[in-house]
Amino acid sequence: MHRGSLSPTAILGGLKITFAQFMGSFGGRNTVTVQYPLRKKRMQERFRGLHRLERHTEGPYKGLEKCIGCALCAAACPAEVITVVAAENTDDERYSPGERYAKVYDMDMLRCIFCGMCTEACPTEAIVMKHDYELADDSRRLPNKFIYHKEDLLDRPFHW
Amino acid sequence: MAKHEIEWVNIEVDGVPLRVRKDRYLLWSLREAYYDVPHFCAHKWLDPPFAGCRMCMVQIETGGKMWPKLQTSCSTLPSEGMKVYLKTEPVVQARKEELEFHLLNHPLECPVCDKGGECMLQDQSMDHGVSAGRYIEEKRIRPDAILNDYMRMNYKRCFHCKRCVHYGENIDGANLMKFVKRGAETRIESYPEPGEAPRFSGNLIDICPVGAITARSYRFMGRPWEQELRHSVGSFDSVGANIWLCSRLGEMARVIPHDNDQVEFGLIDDVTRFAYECVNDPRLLSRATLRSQGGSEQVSQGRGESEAGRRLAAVLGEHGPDSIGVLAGSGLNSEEYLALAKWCGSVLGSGYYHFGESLFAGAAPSAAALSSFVHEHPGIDEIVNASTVLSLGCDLFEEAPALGLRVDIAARRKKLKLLSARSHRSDADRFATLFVNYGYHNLLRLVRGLSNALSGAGECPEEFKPLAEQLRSIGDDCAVVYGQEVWQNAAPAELIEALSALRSAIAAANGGKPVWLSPVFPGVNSAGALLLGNLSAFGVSAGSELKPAAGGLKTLLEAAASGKLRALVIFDYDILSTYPDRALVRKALDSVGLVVYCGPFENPTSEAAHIQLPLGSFAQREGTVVSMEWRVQKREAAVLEIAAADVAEVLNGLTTAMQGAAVADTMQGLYLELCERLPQYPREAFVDFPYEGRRMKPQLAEAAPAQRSELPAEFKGSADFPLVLVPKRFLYNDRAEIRCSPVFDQVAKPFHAFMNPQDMKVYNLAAGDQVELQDDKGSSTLPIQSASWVRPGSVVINDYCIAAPVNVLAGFDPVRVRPRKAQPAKAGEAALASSGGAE
Repeated sequence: MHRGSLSPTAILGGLKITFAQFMGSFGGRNTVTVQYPLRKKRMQERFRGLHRLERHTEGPYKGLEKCIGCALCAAACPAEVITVVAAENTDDERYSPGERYAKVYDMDMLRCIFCGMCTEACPTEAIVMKHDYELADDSRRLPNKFIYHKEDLLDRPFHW
Repeated sequence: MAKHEIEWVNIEVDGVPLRVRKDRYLLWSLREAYYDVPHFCAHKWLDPPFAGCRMCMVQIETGGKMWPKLQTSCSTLPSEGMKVYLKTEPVVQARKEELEFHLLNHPLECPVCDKGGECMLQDQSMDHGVSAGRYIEEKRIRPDAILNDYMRMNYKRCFHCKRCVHYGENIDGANLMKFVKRGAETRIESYPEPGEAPRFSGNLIDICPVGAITARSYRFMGRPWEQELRHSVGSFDSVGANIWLCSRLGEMARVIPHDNDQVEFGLIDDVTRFAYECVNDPRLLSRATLRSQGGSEQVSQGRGESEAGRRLAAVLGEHGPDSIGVLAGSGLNSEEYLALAKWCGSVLGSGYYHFGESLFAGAAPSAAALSSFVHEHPGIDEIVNASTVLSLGCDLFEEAPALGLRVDIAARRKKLKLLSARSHRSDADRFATLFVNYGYHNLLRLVRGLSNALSGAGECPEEFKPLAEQLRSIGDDCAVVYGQEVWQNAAPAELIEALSALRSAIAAANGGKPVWLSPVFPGVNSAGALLLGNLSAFGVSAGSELKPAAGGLKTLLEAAASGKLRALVIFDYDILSTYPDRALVRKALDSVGLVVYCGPFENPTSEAAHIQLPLGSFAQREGTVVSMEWRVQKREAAVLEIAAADVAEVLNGLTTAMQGAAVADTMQGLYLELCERLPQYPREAFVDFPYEGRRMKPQLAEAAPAQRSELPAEFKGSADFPLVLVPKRFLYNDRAEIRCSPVFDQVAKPFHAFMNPQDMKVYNLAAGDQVELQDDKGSSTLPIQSASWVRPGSVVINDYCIAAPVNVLAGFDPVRVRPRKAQPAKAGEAALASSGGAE
């Protein structure tokens, strides 16, 4: 093969790669793209998606909220996403094991940068990040649908 | 002066030379030099040191020899050539082990603790402790308890530093906390006294290094780092205690002291600390009210202002200048007084204005009194560090709590000689060297008698002579503090002149040593009101904008009552409940055709107004105030969600409605104008006003006091009316901020008549009985309590109580009353009976 001439073998050699990629996109080993709205990709284990407030699932506190309203997540948050207003549990109205619970737990998802510092700061592992990433919504006017309240985050259904 | 000389010694800290005060414990000198010495039990208020927590241990070497054991720096005084080691291995090791012991029983619940974030144990564990605990045994657990109306006790968090016990023993004397048992079983116990309204208990929250003692109203209100802090000044007395207004999410969260060592030293009273709750209360007005014959209507502030402006303009058009009177209480800022004075001059054309309370029995201030205020007053520092303090007719604990407590501490430590003279006993003179009890309204007799005895000319009643003897040896300097009994006297001007004469007499009897005369004003900005209400007296040319005031409060009220004034505009002043001559106020309010009241809360005066406009509360208006020591300090507005108007904005709205347009004044502009007009007013950047404030000295010619030596006759009860009425100012009264703060609902407020047990026996009364006090003008019915601190032959009542207003009976002239057991009446009826008296 010398310089300046067109070699059919070389062209075919190149097209082979293109063809293999083209065929592979129909479900081969190298497929990257998924048919998004119809099919969803399973995210990595450590992917940081939408938050969720957890409850105790076993032990004496089963059914109670893990969140104690300490606002350390709000303190750790670099984007000032979280607002916590704490209140006191009573014997009649008990939300969490101790004396303090979060009466208000608001997250402004438009501000969130999904750094995960809130989950690291949480002393009771009440706030965790799940793998949901479909957070689009249609209103920033009041009621702002991007502000997630406690009832939105607590026990919310999640992808995995 | 010898006592103020400071001795210094040179020491070495970790090899670095340092010059420290000889009379100060090492810990404080080291901390002042920015050395990090951990400590728990030591506190700047507490002296002598307890040295119980063992955290502040250091290694000390003197004369080339290391001391055999570690020493607590909080109880070690420095000596020349001493070498101190803070970072050697034994010191670091000792701290670490000590901290482990402190944390043995301390629960690890920092996330839910109100102190978390400003906790000394948290901080010092981070800096000096170990990261993991070795203690696996069970921790001591005990349920929480309610300490008093303000505080809650978390027993399990207490780690026995004993600061609160020492606070009780050495500072406020209330002894709320005590230790019981010993050794490992030691525990803290609280001993609240039910039925007692606490004065200084809130300071325990600050002094507790952990979250064992926390405020009930602040419980779970937010973490300390989440709050917006604004500097302000305690607004319920004239001391000018520095505080932080902390707010979160647009609501007031708490008030904490700002530790100004020159003023309140971090010690604030419970009313200053907890009265912030009224700002969050729905009773704080946000809408205007229009009242007419048919009833009342709530409208927006703008509509209220335009309605008020329209009606004021009508009055002004019909009757011309000098037809509208303006009154303002002592809670406004100096800038607001200036705005009011300008408004009176340029818009209303009226000289009928009065700012502040009636300090001179309704008259205009005399030149001699003003001169005494300006030229003879000391700073709070000078009062507290004086060798002798003479408190005359003034209950410092009730009228100026922060100052009272500082004087009390100094007297307890025998650093000053406290002499006290009052018409009744009080807690404030528990450490007084000498207490002289005289009958109410006989203060002038006492003051003249003392001057006579000191100068050796004229007579002095026998019972006052021991006090005169004490005043012959005042030590280095002497501060005379006087208060409420002077303001409520029939002739305060004469009394202040007599006090000035007494001051000269004390100085003369002690070889010209400095003697000061300090008035304790009733309100936070009484001094500012005095300054700006009488600008011409302070040498400020009136010009076209400012008109000199036409006489005092009494002149104004009489003009209103006689029909000369057609409208009254009142700013945050419950004059109907507090001015001694209730009949005159009532007549004035009824005679004028239009009363506009502008204030943050409702009160009897506002209910009598035709138009009521809202105004920001003490935490919402920005500006400077002048304290009793002529210290100008700035009150900033807390960061709150609710909008609030200041006086300049209200005036702007009124003027716009009256004239169609107005020049909008801002607080900063008014402050600059104030500095312009009054060059002595400290000129600083308004936005960044220095927190500690600046003391000022208004320019005023010095007036020599008139020397008079004749003694007035002693005032006593008569055959018909045997008891002398003493209207006393209490810390807990019916001021709007206390009334509208839910935290005070359960506090036992002194809305009783107090009588000596002897007298109660004579009139056959039992504690709790409803008693009817009659004088020649009217009568008031209220429950009675026996109190041994009351002088026999007198009856003490709260001078600001809405249900049973004292001014139904009291006037400026001395009042005698006759007690009578009333038929058992319900509370509502009692209130009716008392308010029906004089009207």
